[in-house]
Amino acid sequence: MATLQLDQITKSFGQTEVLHDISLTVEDGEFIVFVGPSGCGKSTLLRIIAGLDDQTSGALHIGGEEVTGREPIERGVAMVFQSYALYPHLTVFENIAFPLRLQKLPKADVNSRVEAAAQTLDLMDRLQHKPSQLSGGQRQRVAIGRAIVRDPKLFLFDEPLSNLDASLRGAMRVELSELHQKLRTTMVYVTHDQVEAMTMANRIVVLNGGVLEQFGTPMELYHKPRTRFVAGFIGQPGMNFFRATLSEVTDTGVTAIASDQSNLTAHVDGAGRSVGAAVELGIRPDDLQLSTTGDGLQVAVRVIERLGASTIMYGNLHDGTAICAALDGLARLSPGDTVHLTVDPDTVHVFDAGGLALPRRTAPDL
Amino acid sequence: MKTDIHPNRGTARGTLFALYAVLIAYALITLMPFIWMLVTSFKEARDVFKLPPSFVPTKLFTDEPFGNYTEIWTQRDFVIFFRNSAFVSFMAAIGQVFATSLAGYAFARLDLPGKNWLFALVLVTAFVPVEVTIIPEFLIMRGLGWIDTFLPLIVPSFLVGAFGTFMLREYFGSLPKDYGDAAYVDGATPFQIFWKVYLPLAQPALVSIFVIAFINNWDELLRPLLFLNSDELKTVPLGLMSFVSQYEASWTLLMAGSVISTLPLIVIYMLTQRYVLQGFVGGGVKG
Repeated sequence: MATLQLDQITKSFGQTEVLHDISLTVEDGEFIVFVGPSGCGKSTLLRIIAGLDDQTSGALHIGGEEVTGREPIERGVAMVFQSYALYPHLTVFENIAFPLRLQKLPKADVNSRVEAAAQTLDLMDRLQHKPSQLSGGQRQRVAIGRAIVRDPKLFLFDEPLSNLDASLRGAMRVELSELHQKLRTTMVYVTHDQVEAMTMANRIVVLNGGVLEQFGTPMELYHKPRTRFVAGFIGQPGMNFFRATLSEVTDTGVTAIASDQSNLTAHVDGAGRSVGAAVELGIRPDDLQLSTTGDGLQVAVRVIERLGASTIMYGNLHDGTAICAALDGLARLSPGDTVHLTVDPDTVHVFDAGGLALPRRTAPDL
Repeated sequence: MKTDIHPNRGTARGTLFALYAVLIAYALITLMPFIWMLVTSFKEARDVFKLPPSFVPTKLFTDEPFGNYTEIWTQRDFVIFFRNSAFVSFMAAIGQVFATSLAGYAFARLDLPGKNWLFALVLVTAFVPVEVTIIPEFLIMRGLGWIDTFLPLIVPSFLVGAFGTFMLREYFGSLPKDYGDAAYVDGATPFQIFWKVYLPLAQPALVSIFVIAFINNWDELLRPLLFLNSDELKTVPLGLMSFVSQYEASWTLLMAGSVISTLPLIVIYMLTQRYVLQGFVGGGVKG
């Protein structure tokens, strides 16, 4: 078990800087997820932590020790790869035993540790199989077994579930979370799937273009996104954004005229903002409700998705701006209908022209 | 009314028939020298140049149907030639597998400054005809005192092999990089990554290299002719040469010797055909 500390890590390939000044501290036993779109630098950062790549500048500490320039084995890290990287010519037993054999551990020790890992991962009846004889989920578990058998200080996962189908991915998410609760080892997990990030992480690192956008708990990122990027990236379906102009700034919040000329009030800190400033309003689909009085945003319904517990409605404001709302599962709607949606001013997010969020005055207690 | 749902079936059958006819003709033309060699090895010497040519193995109908084979195996030194060729070809093939697997892996996987230039240099050596290098090679071997030993036929194979290096570079390059990264994170040294992870996965390509090198060395005439003088060191191609002199040629013995010398190659190829094909197709690793 160990803490992980990154101090001003940068990484350049030639003249191109792909990671900009990344600093963060991961506490002992935390499950941290690096999330971001393709090419944001999350896998590069993970490889730097693993020791597979060197950072251009900055320092890296694992368990309080500076490990910059050290070999991966000296860092006490174990890594699970997206492709699983199981050796096809070795059996499951030999794959899991591989790191132990490198350490030249006694045979009895190797056997007991491999069997313990196999029992944890429900692989006992597959030990003599080759990887090609296993299902995707079993291969994934073998890869995890090869990592846990070393008893590392830090686990690194590089998009380990991306090759699995949706149902198996859901099952493996639960298994990984249970494994973390059992081992209590620090884990760093890379994914581009924000659902994986939200469901598994103690805290999430959101990366965009090599920049650390925000580091916080899933609920902080959802309810208090610091930037428009984080607000848009976290949450499913994604946040609705409307271009708007501030029409009033008060002690309790701001009012803005959206592109469809509707007035929306947001309970955010508008200090220093002036009337007429261009902003962007953000409203989560979950925060929109059907109006029973005919007030609120007028929406032409385009598509309805029935998910049972909820109904996802896609439509357009009358100026054409797209909008999505997650409504009650039994909401009576059809494509072609015109409806009105209202929103609580406490849940409206406001972003300035630079994409930074105005602090919310009434965010839920997290 | 019944309609034909496969209107082009007749045309397709005709095309298939024509294709088979061409392929069978091509196979016969290709196999003809081998068939002639086999038939001649079972002929009496006087029947070899009989006109019109005959495919009848006349010796098969005598008291000694395998007489030509018995003679070269018992009265000539063919056993020794055979043993020498087997030893030299085996060692040289091992040398090629050793040298080209290391070089191919290094060019494919290791971060070496200027490795692409070095690889280009290695490739260039494949385009230099052996006639250009054979005299300097002879002078080097003479300087080392290796003339009339097997060393000039074996040692160079442990040092270089452009074709094998190229083939294994491509093969190792086609294997997932994650295998090496995973092993490195688990504490493997670069040599352990090569030895324990990538080399076993390159088995089909290694077998291909071995077979090709074995066949090349088995058939090699020029180098043994230059480097070997003693009768007891002669290889099969040199032995076969001894059946042809300035004034006469023992064609039936030569053909019998040729048949025997071809058999090991056919057996080796049949045993390793699956690997050889995989080796050429590339590193499609299921895992």
